[in-house]
Amino acid sequence: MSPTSRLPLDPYLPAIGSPLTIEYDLQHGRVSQVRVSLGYAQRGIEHLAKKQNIWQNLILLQRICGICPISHTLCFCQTLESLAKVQIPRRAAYLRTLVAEIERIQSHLLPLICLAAHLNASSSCLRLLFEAREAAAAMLCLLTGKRVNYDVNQIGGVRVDLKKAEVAQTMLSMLGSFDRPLDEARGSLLRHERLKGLGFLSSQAAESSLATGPVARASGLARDLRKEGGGYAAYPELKFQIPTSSRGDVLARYEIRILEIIESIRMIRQILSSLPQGKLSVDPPPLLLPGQAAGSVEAPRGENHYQLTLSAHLQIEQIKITTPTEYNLEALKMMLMDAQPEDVPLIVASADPCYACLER
Amino acid sequence: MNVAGECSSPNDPRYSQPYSVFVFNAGGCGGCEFEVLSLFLHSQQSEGFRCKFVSQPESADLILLFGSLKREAYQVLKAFLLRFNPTCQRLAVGACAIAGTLFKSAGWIAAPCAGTAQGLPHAFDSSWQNPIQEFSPNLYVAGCPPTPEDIWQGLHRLACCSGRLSAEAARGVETNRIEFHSELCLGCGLCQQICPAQAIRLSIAQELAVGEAGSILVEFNQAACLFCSLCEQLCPTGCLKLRGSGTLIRQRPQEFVVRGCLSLVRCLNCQGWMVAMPKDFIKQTLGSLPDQRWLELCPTCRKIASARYLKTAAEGLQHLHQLIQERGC
Repeated sequence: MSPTSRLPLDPYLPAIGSPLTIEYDLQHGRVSQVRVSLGYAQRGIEHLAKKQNIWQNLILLQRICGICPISHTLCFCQTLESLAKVQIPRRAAYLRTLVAEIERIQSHLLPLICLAAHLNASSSCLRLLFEAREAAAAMLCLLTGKRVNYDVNQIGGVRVDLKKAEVAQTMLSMLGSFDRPLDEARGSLLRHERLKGLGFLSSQAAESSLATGPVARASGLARDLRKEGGGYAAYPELKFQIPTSSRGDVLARYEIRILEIIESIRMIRQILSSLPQGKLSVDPPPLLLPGQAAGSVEAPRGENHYQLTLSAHLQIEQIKITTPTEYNLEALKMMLMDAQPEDVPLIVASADPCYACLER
Repeated sequence: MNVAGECSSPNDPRYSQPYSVFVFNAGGCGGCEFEVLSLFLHSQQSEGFRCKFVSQPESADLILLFGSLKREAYQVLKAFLLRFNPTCQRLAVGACAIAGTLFKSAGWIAAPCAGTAQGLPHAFDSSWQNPIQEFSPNLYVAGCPPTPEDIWQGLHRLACCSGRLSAEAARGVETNRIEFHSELCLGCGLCQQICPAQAIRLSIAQELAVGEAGSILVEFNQAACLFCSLCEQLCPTGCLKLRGSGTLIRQRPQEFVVRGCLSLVRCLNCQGWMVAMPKDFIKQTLGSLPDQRWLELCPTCRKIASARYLKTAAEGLQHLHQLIQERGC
C-alpha cells in the first residue's frame, strides 16, 4: 500500500483568498479524503442577534456577508413579515428584487475573476471582468448610495428609492457593459480543455448531498426558490428562466453562472421598464407579532434559510441561519474525490464557497 | 507626515516598480476584501504608481490588514508578523479592524489595531480591553467598507512615507462623512440608543464648561461607524447628516471622532440643568418662536406649566391672548 500524504490548503493563501483550511489526503497522487476546518472568521452573529433589537439586527445580519448582504436581510424581513402577516407594497417588492439581481451579477462575477486568476488569464481579460464587477458595484452605489453593505431593507418595505428617471436610464445603459466581459469569459476562459470533466458531481450525488444553487443546477437539478412554490418578492411577475446543465463539471458550473447573469440582466431590464408607482414601505409601520417562523430566499450561491423565534418583547429569542455554502460543503467534498492535487484550487473555486456566510 | 527617505521624482526607478502589498484577511464579512481587490483595477489604470499583491511576507513593502480577529486567526497573524521586514509599512482598513464595531461584544473577537488606540475607544466601551498590542498601523482607513479610492490614497501616502513617492503625489484632504449641527440637536440620545456599533456617545463634559454652564459632549466615532444611517433616519431634528463622500484616512484612530457641544442652561423654574432649546429648529417648525420663558423651562416643568395653563379651555385661550399681546403681533 502506498503511503498517504496529508496536504493542507491553508488559510491566508492567495489560492482561495479566504481564511478556510481544506486538508486532503493523497493516495497514488489522487485526493482520497477531504477535511474542512473552520473557525477563522466566526463572529458569533447568532449570539449577537439575540442581544440587539430588530432594527439593529437588520444592520447586523447584513454584515454576515459582504457579497450577498441583501439575501440575508431579505430573508430576515420576509420571515418577520410572514409572522406579522404583512403584505409589502409592490414598488418595495420590485426594488428589493432589483437590488437582489444586481447583487447576483456581482456575486457571480467573482468566481469568474477567481478562475481567470487561476488560469493565468491575460491581464486584459482579468481587467474586463474587474470592470464588469465595478459596473455592478457602481449600479448598486447609484441606487443605494453604497457599493457594499448597502442597507436597503426594512421590515415592511425598503429604505431607498429610485426617484429620478435619469438614474434608471443610466442603469439601463450600464447593463450593456456586461456583454463584452461575458463574451471574453466564454471565449477565452471556458475554452480551456482542462475544465472539462473536472470535479464531476452527478445529479444523484447533488441530490444526496443537498447541494443548492448553481452547483445543483449544473448537475441537472432545476432547483431555484425564485420559481419554486410561487416565488417571492416580485419574481412571480417577472419572466425568466432557470438555466440547468447535466454535465456536472467545473465548466458547467461556470457556464450556469454566466447564463444566470444574462437572465438577471433580462430581469433588471424588465424591472426598470415597469417599476410600479406607490409607497416604499407599509404605512403605518407593521406591528410585529411574537411567534416562530421560517423563511428562505435564493441567494446568489443557493438557498438561504432563516428560522427564528420572536419573544413577547419582540426580541429574537432563538435564531438559526443556514447558508448555501453549508449545504454545498458536502458536495464540495464529493467533487474533490480522486482529483489531482493541482486541480484542487480550481474545483474549490468552482463551488464558490463563501467563508463569511459559512462561519458567521 | 514623517517622510523617511528622499522624495523621488517620476523618473526615479523606484517609482516604476510596483509597490508590493501583503493582504491579511483576519476574517469578516468580505466587504473589505472586494474593495481591496478593486485596487487591482486602480493599479492597472494608474499612470505611474502601481501596486501588486504578494504572497510572501518577506517581500512585502506594506501589510494591509482588515477584518475582525479571532483567536485562531491571531495565532496565524502573530506567526506572520515575525516574517515581515521591519521597515514594512502597516495599513489598517475597515471598521472591524480599527474599532471592532458590531462584533467586539461577542467576547472573543478583537479589533487587531485597537490596542494602539489607548484612551479613545473603538466603541466607547471601557469594560472591553483589546488583548492585541503587537500590530501598530502607520495609517488607518475607516469605513464599512472603505471606498477603494480611500484605500488607494492610503497606499499612496504610505508609499510616500517610505520614500517611494513624492510628497505632492500623496497629498490629500481629510474630510468627514458625518456632519453634526449642534445648534439643531435636542440631546435626546435616540441616535446613541439605536446605533448598532455603539459609535455615538453623549456625555456630560465638565471640563468643557463655559462659565458656570456645563455642556453635553456629543461624539461620533467614524472609525466604528457602519454608515447604516439609522441615526439619520431617527433623528427628530435632522441635526445629523451622513454624506455620501468623504476621505476617512487618519494617522491615529482618535482623529476619526467628530465632536459637538451642547450647552446646558438652568431651568427657570426648578433650576435643574437642561439642553438649551434649538431655537432655529423651533422657529422653522412652528413658523415663529413661542414665549421666551417657555423655552427656558425644562421638559418636566414645561409639562407641569402647560397642564396648569390649560386647566380649562378658557384659561388656555386667555393665556394665548396674553402671549400674543405681549409679543405685539
